[in-house]
Amino acid sequence: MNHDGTIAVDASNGTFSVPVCRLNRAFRWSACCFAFPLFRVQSVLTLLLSVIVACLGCDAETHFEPNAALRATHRLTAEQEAFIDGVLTELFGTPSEPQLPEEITSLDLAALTQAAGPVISYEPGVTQGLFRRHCARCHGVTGDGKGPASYYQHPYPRDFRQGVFKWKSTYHEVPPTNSDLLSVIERGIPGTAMPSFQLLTPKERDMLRQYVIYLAMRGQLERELIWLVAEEFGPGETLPEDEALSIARELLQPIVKAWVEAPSAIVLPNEAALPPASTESIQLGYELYHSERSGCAKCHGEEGQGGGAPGDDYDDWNREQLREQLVVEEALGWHRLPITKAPARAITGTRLRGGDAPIDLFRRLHQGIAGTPMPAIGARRPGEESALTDEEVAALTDYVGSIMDVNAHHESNEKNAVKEPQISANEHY
Amino acid sequence: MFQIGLSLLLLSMATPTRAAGWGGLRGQIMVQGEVPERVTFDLGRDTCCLAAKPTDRSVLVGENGGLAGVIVYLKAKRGVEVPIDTLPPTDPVEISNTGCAFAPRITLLRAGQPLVLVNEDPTTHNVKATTRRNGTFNLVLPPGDRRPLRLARAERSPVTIACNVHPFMRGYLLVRDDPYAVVTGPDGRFELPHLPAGVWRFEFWHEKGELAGVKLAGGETDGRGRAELTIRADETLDLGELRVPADRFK
Repeated sequence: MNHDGTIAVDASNGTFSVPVCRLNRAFRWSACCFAFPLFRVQSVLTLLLSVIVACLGCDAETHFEPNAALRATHRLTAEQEAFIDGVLTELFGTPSEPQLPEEITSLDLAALTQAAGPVISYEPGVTQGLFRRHCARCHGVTGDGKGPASYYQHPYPRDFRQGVFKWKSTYHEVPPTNSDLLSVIERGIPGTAMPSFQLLTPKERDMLRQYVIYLAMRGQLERELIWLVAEEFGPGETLPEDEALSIARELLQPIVKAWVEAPSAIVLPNEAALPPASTESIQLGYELYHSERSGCAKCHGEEGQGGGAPGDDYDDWNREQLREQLVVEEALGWHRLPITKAPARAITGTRLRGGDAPIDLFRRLHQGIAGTPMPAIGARRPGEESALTDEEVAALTDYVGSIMDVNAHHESNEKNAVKEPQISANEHY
Repeated sequence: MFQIGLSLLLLSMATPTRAAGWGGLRGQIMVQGEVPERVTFDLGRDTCCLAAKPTDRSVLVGENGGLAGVIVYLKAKRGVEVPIDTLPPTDPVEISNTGCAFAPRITLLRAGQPLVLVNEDPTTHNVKATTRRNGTFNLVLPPGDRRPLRLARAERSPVTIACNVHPFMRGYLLVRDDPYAVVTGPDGRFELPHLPAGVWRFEFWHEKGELAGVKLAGGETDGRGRAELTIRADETLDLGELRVPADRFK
C-alpha cells in the first residue's frame, strides 16, 4: 500500500492504482467498488481484475470499531488501546475472518464464517455475509448498535456489546437463551424498527443468532479489558502478549459460562402460579397495580398512560453514553447517537415488544427488563425473597394483560418449556 | 464444629500473606473555594418525597470546608496480595431508603458480608445496581420491606445504586475483600487504623470523579486519584490536609 492510501497493482505489464476504501461500514463497501477512478488499463480483463481487487481491498479495511467512548472515559493510552485490540483480534479474528477462542465451544465457526464477511454467493440459495446483509445497517458491523440507519430509529438498535438483552425468558442478570434470540429474529420486535426475519431459512436465522452471541461476547470481553487496564494497571502499563492472552482468557470464562448456562435460569412459573385469568384474578391484579406493594402506577400511571416518574431517567446504554459524553465529547465523534430518555412506557395503546403471550408478560413483570429502569417484582434468583409472590405476579399479569389486550391466557404451556434451536450446533453449514 | 472449620477455611483463604506489621493512615480532605450550588430535584407528586424534601448531596462540604463522602481505600496493583487478618463481619450492612434518599449514601461492604436493602418510607422504591463481579439487580422494594442480598465477590470500584421510581436518588456501594476502606466524615477526616505495613497503592474516590492531582507529602495523586504510600509498622501516617479545588465539582 502506498502512503497516499492507494493500492498499487501490477497487472499484466501495466500499473494502476485504486483508492483504498476507508469506510468500515458494510453497506458502503459495495458502492466503493464503482467509485474508484480509472487509470491506465490495458484490457477489459484487467479492468475486471481491478474491480475485484478494489472490492477485496475495501473489505480488507472493514474492522471492528473500538468501544471508543468507554476507552476514552477510562483514559487509556494509545499503547493500551493497541494492547486490547491485539488481544481481541487474536481471540476473535476480524469481521471477515472470525475466530473462536477455545473457551467458546457453544458456537460453530462454520456458522460464524457464513454469517461474517462481505455479502456474496457462490451457489444458488447460499448466501455468505448474512450479518452484513440483514443486520449491520442498524446494528453495525461491530454489533455496537451504531449502524448507518441507527441515527433515525427510536428506540435505537440494540448494542450487543454489554451482553444485555431485553426480551428474554431468563432471570434479570442472565443472558438470553438461544431460543430467546431466535424468537426475536423470527418475530421481530413490534413497535420498533426490528423486522421479522421469518423469510430466512431456520439455518440462516441460527447462524445470525450465533453471530450475535459472538459479537456480544467479544464486546463484553473488550469492556472487561478496558476496566482491567483502567483499574489494575499502572499509568501506561501494558503486558507481554502471552500474559495478556492468558488474562483475557480468564476474563472470558465467566462471560462464556453465563451464556452457556442461561437455559438453566429460565423463569418457570408452575401451573398453579399461572391459572387462567378470571374476574377475581384481574381484580386482585388491579389492586396490586395501584398499591404501594408493586408501585406500578407510580411510573406507568393510574390508567396505564405512562410517564409517571419524575425527572429524567435513561436505560443503561444511554446512561453510559451520557456519562461518557460529559467526560469526553470529542472521543465519540460521529459515533455518538443523540441521548434518548427512558420514561415509563404507556401500557395502553401500545404493543408488547417482547412477545404477547401471558408467559412473556409474566416474565417482564417478574424480572423487570434488563438494561432499563423497569425493576423486578419477583425474586432476584430462584428461592429468594420477592416483593410479590408468583401467584400475585400472575394476577398482575392478568390485569395488565386485560388492559394491554394480551392473548387469551395460557395458550402457552409449551412456551414454559425450555426450547432450544432445532439445529444442532455441530451441523455442517 | 462445621462452623469452626468453615471459619478456619475462610481465614486461611483470606490470609494470603502475613503482614510484616501493622500501621495506620489518616488525613483530612478539604475543599478550596466555593462549590457549585446544589441541584434542585424534581420530586414529582410523591407525597412521601414532597414531605421529606431530599436535597442534592453529591458534594457535601462541612462547615470547616471538609469534604465528606470520599472513599479512601487500599487498591493494590494487579497480582499483589494484601494481608488480611480478619474475617468479614457477620453483622449485616443496611442500605435504607429513608426520606427518598439512600442512607447511607456511601456504603462499604466486605465481600460475603450480609447486605440488607431496607425501605423505611411509606412509598415504593426500587434498588438498581449493575456490579461487575456480583451480577446486576433491579428490585422492587415495597414499604417496610427488608431484602437480604449476598454479594460474595470484591469489586474493583464503587458501584452506583439507583431508584428508578425516584430517579434523583443516588447511592454508592464498594465491596472489598479487605477492611482497608473508609469514607470521610462530615469534617473531611478519615482514618484507617489497621493497615498492613508496606508500600501500598491507595485510591481517593469521590462520586464526581477520582481526586486526581491532589498534593501529598512527596508527590501528588495520579490521574486516577491514586498514590503509593508507605505504611510503617506501629506508626500512623498522617497526610495532614489534602486540598481539593472546588471547581473540580462543577
